[in-house]
Amino acid sequence: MLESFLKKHFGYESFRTGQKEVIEAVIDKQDVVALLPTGSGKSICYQLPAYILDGAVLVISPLLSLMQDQVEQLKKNGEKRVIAINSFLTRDQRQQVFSNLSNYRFIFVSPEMFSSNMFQNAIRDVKLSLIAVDEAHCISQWGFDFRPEYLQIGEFLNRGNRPPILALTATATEQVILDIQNYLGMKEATKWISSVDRLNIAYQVIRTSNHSEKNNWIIQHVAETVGPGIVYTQSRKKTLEITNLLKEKNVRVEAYHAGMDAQDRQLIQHQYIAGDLDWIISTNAFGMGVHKPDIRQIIHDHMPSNTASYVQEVGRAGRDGEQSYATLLYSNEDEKFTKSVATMDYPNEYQMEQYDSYRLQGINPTAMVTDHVIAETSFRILHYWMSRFSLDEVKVQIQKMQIEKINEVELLKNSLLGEQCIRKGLNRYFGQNLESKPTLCCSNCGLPDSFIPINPKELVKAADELSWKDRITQLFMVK
Amino acid sequence: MFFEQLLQYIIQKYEGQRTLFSAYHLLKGKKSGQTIQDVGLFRLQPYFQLMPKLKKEIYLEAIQSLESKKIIIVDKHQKIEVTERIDLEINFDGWHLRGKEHLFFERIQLAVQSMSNTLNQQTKFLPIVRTDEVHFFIRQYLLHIQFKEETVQQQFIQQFTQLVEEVDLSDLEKNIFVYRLTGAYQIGWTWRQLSEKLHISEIDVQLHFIHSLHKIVHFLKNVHLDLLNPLLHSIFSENVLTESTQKTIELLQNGYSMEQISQYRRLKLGTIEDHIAEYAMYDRRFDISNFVNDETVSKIKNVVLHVGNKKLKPIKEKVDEASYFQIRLVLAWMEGDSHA
Repeated sequence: MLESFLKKHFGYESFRTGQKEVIEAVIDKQDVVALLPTGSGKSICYQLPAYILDGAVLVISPLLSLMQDQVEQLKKNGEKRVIAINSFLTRDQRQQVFSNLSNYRFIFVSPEMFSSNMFQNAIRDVKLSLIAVDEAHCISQWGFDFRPEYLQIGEFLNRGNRPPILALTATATEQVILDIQNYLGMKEATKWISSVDRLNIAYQVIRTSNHSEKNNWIIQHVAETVGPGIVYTQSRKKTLEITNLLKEKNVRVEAYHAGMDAQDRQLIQHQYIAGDLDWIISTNAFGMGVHKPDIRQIIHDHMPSNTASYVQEVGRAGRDGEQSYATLLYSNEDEKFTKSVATMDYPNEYQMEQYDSYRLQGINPTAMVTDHVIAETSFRILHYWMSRFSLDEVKVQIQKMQIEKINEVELLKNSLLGEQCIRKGLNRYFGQNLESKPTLCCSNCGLPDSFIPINPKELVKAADELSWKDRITQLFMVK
Repeated sequence: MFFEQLLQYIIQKYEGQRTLFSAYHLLKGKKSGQTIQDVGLFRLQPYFQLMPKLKKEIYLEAIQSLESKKIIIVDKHQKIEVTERIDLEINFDGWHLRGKEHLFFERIQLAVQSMSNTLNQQTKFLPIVRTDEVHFFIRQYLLHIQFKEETVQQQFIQQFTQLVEEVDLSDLEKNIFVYRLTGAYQIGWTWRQLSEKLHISEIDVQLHFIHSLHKIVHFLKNVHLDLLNPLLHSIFSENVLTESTQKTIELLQNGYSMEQISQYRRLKLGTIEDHIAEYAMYDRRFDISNFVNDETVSKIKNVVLHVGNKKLKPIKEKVDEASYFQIRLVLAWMEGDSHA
């Protein structure tokens, strides 16, 4: 029955693990928390019910890129009644969308929208069959990606009668799952928790003594072993540095970071998906919404700030189920560096006091951002807490959160650099037990020499001159 | 080099009367009174808003390079002047396109990608352009030209090829334009990839690209290629005035005084003056005698024609009874964009 809908609307023959169970519960009007790994088809869980239930599906999504990606996927699938409401829309466009809101089957919104009266009024008149909260871990202050705006969602949703809520996340500890249920006001939620473990990924950690050793390792390794792959590094400058060195070796590689021209970023994603590029050297900006099933390797030249981010980045490998490899290069100064990155976005005491003094002088504290007293990301955190608690309470709160962040770094470090099985450590973080271990498990369990296959492709210098005539022929060529 | 040459040429046109960032504001398309008036004063229409996304660092880098080659000199008042003149025979049309050539490119990019995928019987593909507006436009366009007809597909390829063959561009610029496009199996190249292949800087690649687009839209405006002409829809700005200026002029024509408009619109009087000067440049039939009497007009004209100076202060010294606004107004009106 459900399978026939799946076939009809999405062209798939069967469900993947978890999808059917979640959809059944949703259709049965239960609130659901679903922890499904990235790339496991999370979005089908709210997309399919839209074709079965009567009414629109409201999807709350925190990242514009993610929202855009979902909308594109639906459109690619032939769905026309889909709209994304976000800051990209002009006032006029927004007004028009709001007056036609009930004509859509899918309504995507960013959480900030819930503070707009216009939106609140418009959505109230729409018959909703389901509310999907994507990346639901953002609601938890203990999650790695807390967004204060998410708290408004819960406040709004539970004002009157509401349809069932489906909270989706790829990464949540037990504590975060509890927070999701509480803040969204879910009643006796049904839970579907998938194993976060990815059996087809082998983990290795390599200790190095300094940066140049890391770079040398990356250059040699990437040139010699199998792709496609992604190298994650911390700075824009480093993405370019490594890319240039690899280009000299004729590796088909490009750098990717958020500072690049938007069209160029789009072109690089497409080139990578099309197989024109074998490697991407990127900051953590790359990956979201890139659907490439055959990524074989993920390399980190640094330690991410927390286990959830690490698992998410590594989890981009091997979506096709084939054997894949995750390598992390570690040197002793990394821990300190990662800790400072992890706490970077928090406001400091001076900024907290400034907030107070702006307020006392009757100035809107938002001016702190334009006065360059504070960065916008830090301001959002500060503003959320200061509008609810006293200065002293906020000081304590922020300090607590910073300590928590530092703890997170240490937890990841323990998993990756301890004596025990890396896979086991990562699973334990999510409160899950390891049921079985693959043969290629991790560097602590022991990995054979050269366990990562060599690059079967010959590295050759890219073709000669450009010819617009030939290119036009290729553009319209029929294969 | 190309970008530096363009800067050199623009600075040369400023005749040593403008400062370090004048060319930057011009290329970015800053909508201030000064920048817009200078467009008329120094005949800089082709370059207005040519590079809306130009980064300050890139601009300064080029200026410094020109300075170190002693091609330009900056004096202690930050006035900037060229030491050697160049003739840049490149036709841009910034004034009428206002960055809309990029919208045209997004359209042709998606049209080519759609056509290429259709030829390959692929009905689902990830669009290379992410703008909803363009998706909507191209969907309508494809239906309108009946893209599923085999004869239409062949004609599209033929017309596209004819366009690239016949448009008056160097092979370098034809390459840049064509290699930015995406098909079913070819993905467009990034600026960096083109820059590495062509051995020219990224900013030069981008400027050549903009030039190729300007040439192409003008080609399509004049040559009948029925499958491609529709892509030009609303690419050329009919009205080159800023929205705010239009409002001011509307009120003016309804009989409100400058002071009333300033109060009503909650704008400074100086801003209203900017609007009026901008309009005087745009419409030569505009009657400036409401703001400045005929005698003052001819005095100012005389000074400009004889002294050849377009700076306000020296004119003011010679025609003391005129206000700065009146001088600006006469200058703008005199140098008005006659082809606007």
